[in-house]
Amino acid sequence: MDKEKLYTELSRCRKCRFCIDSCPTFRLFGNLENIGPYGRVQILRHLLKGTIDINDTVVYSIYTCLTCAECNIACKESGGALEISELVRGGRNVVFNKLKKEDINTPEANLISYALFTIVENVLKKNDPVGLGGKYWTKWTNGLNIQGKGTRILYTSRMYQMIPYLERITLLMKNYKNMIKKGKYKSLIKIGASLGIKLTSLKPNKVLKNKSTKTLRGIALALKKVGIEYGYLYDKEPYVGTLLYDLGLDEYLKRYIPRVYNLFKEHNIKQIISVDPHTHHLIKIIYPEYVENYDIEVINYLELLDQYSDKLKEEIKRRTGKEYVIHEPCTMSRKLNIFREPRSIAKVIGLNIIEPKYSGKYTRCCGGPIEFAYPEYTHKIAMDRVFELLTYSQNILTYCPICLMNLEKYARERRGEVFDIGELLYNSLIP
Amino acid sequence: MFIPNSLDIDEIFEDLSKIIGKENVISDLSTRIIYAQDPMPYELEEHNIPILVVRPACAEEVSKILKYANEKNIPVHVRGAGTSLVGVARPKTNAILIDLKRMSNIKVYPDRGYFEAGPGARLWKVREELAKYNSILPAFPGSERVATLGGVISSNTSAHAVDAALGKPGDFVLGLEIVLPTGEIIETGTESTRRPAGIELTKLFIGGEGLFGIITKIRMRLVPGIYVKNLVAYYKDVDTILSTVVDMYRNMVPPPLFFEFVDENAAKVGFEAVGLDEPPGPVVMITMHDWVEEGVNEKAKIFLNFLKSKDIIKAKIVEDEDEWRKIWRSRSEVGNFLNRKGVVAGSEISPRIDKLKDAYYEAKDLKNKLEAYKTPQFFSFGHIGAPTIHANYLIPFEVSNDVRKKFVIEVRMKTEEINIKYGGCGGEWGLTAQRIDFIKKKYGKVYYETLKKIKAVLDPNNILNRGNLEGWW
Repeated sequence: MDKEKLYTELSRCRKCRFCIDSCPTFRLFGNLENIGPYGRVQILRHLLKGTIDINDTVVYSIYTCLTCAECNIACKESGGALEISELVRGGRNVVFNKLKKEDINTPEANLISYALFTIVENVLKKNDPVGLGGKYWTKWTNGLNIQGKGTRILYTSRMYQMIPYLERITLLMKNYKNMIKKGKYKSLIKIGASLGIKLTSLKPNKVLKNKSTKTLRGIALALKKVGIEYGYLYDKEPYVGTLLYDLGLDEYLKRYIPRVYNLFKEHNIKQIISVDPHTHHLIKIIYPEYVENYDIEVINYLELLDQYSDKLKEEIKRRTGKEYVIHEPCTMSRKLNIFREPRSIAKVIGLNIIEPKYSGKYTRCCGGPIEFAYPEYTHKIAMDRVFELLTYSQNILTYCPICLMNLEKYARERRGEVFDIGELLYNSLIP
Repeated sequence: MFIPNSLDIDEIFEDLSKIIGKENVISDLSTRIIYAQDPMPYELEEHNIPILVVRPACAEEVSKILKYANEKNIPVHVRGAGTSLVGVARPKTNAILIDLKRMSNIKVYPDRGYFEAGPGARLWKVREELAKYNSILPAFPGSERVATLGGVISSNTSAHAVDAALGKPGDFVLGLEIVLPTGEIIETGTESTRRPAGIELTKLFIGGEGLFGIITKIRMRLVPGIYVKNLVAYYKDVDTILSTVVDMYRNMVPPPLFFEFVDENAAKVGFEAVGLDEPPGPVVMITMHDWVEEGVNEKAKIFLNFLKSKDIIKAKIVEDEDEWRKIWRSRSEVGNFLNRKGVVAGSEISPRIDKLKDAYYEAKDLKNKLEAYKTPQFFSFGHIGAPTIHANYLIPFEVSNDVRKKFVIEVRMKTEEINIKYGGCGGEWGLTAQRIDFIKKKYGKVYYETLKKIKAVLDPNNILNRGNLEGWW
C-alpha cells in the first residue's frame, strides 16, 4: 500500500475507539490507548502527517500489534470498515524504512532493527526465518515414500518443522533482549557467539518436535489413505515468507515472492496443498497480488480431506471419543473464513468438540507473531488464552503451528495438552 | 512540543511520578495526542494537546494530583472513553489529562441491592457482571463497546432509551465518591436502596461533565432483569412516524424502552450495510420491556395495534433474533455507516412533543441554508420516541480541515437554534464545550453566571476541565 493510500485509509478512522477492547495487547497493557488499534491507527496517521517523529513509543506501539485482526471485526461490526491490522502492517513498512534511513539507537529501535534485519537475512539467504539450514526440514518424511515431484505438492513451508527451534530461540531472545536493546549486538547469532552458543546446535523442544512431526505425518498419511496423489519438494521446499508479510517488509516480500513462485513453476507445480493457515493465506490470497497471472491452485489439507470425508471415515482405526475445546487460529477464521472443514474432520476422527466463548471469528490470539521481539507478551497472551480454554477441557485442539507452539507449554504446565488436528489424524490412522 | 514555555514539564513529570509511579505518567507526544482526540472530524490544535497523561488507580491518587495541580495552577482535564459528540472530551487548554481506566473494579452486592464500580469500568463489562445476578444496567449508549460508567454518569445520558420508560442512568445512582477540584474526597448519597429526599449533592455531580469534581466510585441500585419484545414498522414517510410519537404521548400509550427511527436515506445506508433488502421508506425499531413475560407480550400487542392504527406499510413483532440483530444494527450503527461515506456533522434536537414536526422539517430544510459547505446530504435518525432527532449533514472526505471545523460549528449552532425555538435541550450529549452558546441563549445570562458561580465555589482556580464551561474550542 503506498503512503498516500495508507494515509487516506488511516484518516477514515472516526476515532470512536469501539475497537479498543478487541485488542489483546490493549487488554494486556492495562487499557493503554496507544497500545491498541485506535492508538496504532492514529500514531501512524500522525507519523505520515508529520505531527510526530519516530521514537520508541511509535516503534513499540506498531510492533506489538499481533495482526490478529480481531479489531477488524470490531470496526466492521461498529459500522466502520477499516482493515486495521492491514493498515498497521502497511504502517510497519513506513516505520521500517524510517529505521533504515535514520540512525536511531534507542532501545526499541535497536530491538526492532535487530529483529527485522535478522529475519530478512535468514529468509533471503537461508530460506527460513530461523536460519537453521540443513536437512532437518525433511526428516519428518522418513519412511513415508513421498515422491519428490508431481504437479500437485504438499507444501509445509517449513512451518511445523520450525517451531521446536523457534520456541528455543524465543526463550534465548527473552533472556538477551536487554543486551540487544542497548545496541551492543546486531544479531542473536553474535550474542550466541559471545556466549559460546551456536544456534545451529540448539537442542529443539522435544515435545514440539514430536508433535510437529506427528502432525505432518498425520496429514501426509491421511491424504494418501483417501487416495490423493501428491509430491513434496524436500530440501528444495522454500519458506513462504509469512514473517516478511506480517512485519510489513514489503520490498523484501516483493523480491521473495517471485523467487518462490518461479521455483514452483520450475517444478511444474499446478496445485498446492497447504498444511497451515499462515502459508495458506499468503500463497492463496497475497501471492496473486504480487505475481501477475498467478496460476497455482491452492487448497488447505482440511478442505481437501473434507471432500473425502466418507473415505477418511473408513480409514480411521481409532476414535478417541474425548472432548476437545477448539482453539481457532485467527488466520484461519478471520482472514480465510475456514470454519466448517476443521470441525468436520474432527468429527470424522471421533472428537467431541467444545466451542469456547471466544470462537469462530471472535477467536482470541495465541500471542504470535510478536515473539520475534516481545516474547514476554506472547507468553502472557498465550497463558491467558490457555487459562480460558482449560475451563472447558484439558484437551485443546488447534490447527496451526504457531498456536501449537505458543499454547503448548502453558497447557502442559497445568496438566492440559494441545493437539494439532494433524497429530490426532496420525493417532487415528495408525493401528 | 506543544507545551507552554511557562511550565517545567520535567519537574511536573517527576512530581507526578512520585504520586502515582513513573509508569503511569506519560509525556510522549503521540500518546498525548491520542488521548486528546475525540470523534470531532477536525484536527486538534496546539492548545488542545495535554502536557501529560496520568493514570491514577484510586481516589487518593486523584486527590494528590488535584492538590498538586492547584498548587501549581495547572489545569486538569478528565474524560471517560473520549466519545463525546459535542467536544466535551477534548481538552481546551494544555492540561494534565486524567485517564481513569485503571479504576474499573466492579463489585455487586445483591444482599444490599446495589453495585459499586469505578468510573473507568466499561459498560459492557458492568452489564456482563450484572447479568450474573439477573440484573440490567439502565444505560444504553451507542458507544456501549467503549463507554465508561464514569462518562455515562457524568453526562447522564439516556442515549437509546426513552426517558419516559425507565428514566435516566442518574436516577439509579445511590451515591458517589467524589474528589473535589481542590482535592478533598467526599462521599454522597446513601447505602440504602432508597435515594435521599431533599438537598443532596449527588445530583450536582450526575451530569456534572467533570466540572465540579472527579467521580471515583459509583453506587447504583440493582435493576431486575427485564423481558423484551421487539417490533419493526415500515412507513411511507417520516411524517407518519412523527404523528405516531406525538399521539403516543398525547394518548398516554405505554412508552417503549427504545423507539428508534431511520429516515429513508439513513434506512437505505443502514439496511444495505447489514445485508438487508432496501426498505420502501423510513423504518421504526421498537423495544418494549417489562419485568413480567406476560406483561411484555401484552405491551407489545398493544403497541403493535397502536402502530397499525396509523397509515403504515407494515409492522410486526420480530421473533427471529438474527433478523432483529440486523434491523437494530442498521439503526444503532448508522452513524458509523455514514462515516464511511464522508464527514458527518451531527446534532441532537429534542423539541417539545407538540413541536416535533416543526423541528424536524426545519432541521431538514437547514441543509439548504448552510454556508460553510453548500447543500450537504441530509440523513436523519435517532431516538424519535424520546424524542430525539439526530439531524446529520454529510460532506465529502476531501474538504479541508478548516471547512470541516466551520461546518461542524455551523451545524451545531444552527441546530441548537431549533432546540431553542421549539423548547428543547438535549438528552444525551452533554451541555458544555460546543454548547455553551446554546446554554447562554436558551437560559440567559443569570443562569449561565449561576453555573459559573457554582463552579467557582468548588473550583476556585478553575482547574478542572477548564474551557468547557467557557465554551472554548
